[in-house]
Amino acid sequence: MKSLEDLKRIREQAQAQIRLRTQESNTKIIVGMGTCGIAAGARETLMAILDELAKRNIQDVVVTQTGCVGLCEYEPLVNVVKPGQPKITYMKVTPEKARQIIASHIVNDQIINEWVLSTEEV
Amino acid sequence: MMEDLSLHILDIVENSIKAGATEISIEVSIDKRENLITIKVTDNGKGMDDKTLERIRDPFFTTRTTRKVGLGVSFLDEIAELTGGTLDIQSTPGIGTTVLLRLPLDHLDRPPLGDIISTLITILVTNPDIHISYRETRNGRVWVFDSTDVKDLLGDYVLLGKVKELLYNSYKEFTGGELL
Repeated sequence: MKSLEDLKRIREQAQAQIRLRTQESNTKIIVGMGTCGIAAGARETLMAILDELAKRNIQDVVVTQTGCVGLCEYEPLVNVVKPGQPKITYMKVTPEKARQIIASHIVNDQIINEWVLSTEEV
Repeated sequence: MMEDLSLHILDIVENSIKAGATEISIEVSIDKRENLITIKVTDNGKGMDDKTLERIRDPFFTTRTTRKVGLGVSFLDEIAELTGGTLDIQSTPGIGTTVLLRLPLDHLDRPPLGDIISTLITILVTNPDIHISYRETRNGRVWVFDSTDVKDLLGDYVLLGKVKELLYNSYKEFTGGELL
């Protein structure tokens, strides 16, 4: 890859701000990435989430994935788990909805009820 | 169905990860003279026995318990059949699996290659502990990517955005903007 040198430079410049993600203490965003999720657009939803987190310089969030949970008709599914709060599952999350979930739920702690498929105590 | 081959690659890799793979290699080769696009995904997951392998193309076979159909591989099989291509899956329990898809480049029903970089970023971010390499050969040129190069940049979303941009630019330079 031609840009390897560029990457090394970015890495050196940013060494100080790199934080290791700890799975336990952070807010988690979990995107359904089974065949059903992928076919419904989960990759673009995930890319929008990453982009929005970068734009807002949010670092203490772990983005991860899960397989098919049997709710294929509601994909793309996005779960938000904040420490000490129930797991919120959003359904049919388009890239645009994903950006709004970041703004409303992740940043301002406001769950967008009309898109919630289920709530589960963790 | 999936819109493009890069989504199928993501789906195959998700299968590898579910099979416990820690090493995944993706090779894409485009040969205009032979009118052939080849996609090969090799993993070191737990593999499948012959009995499982026999049934894997069957849409009503799946190892999952959350739904009764398994569509990923049957989609691929359908594309191969529709275009006169081939899908070969070789697997050894305890060693790993290789998925090899060969499609005629100029067939109207061949899905486009799609957004490879988004597929790579998706795999990298959601599975930071696996090692993944990508190698594409096109018009006699080679483009390679190895997750080792960016592993310690993935924890920061601003840096990740920069990595994404670099990869898009580098890949675009490689393809010359040619969409396949």
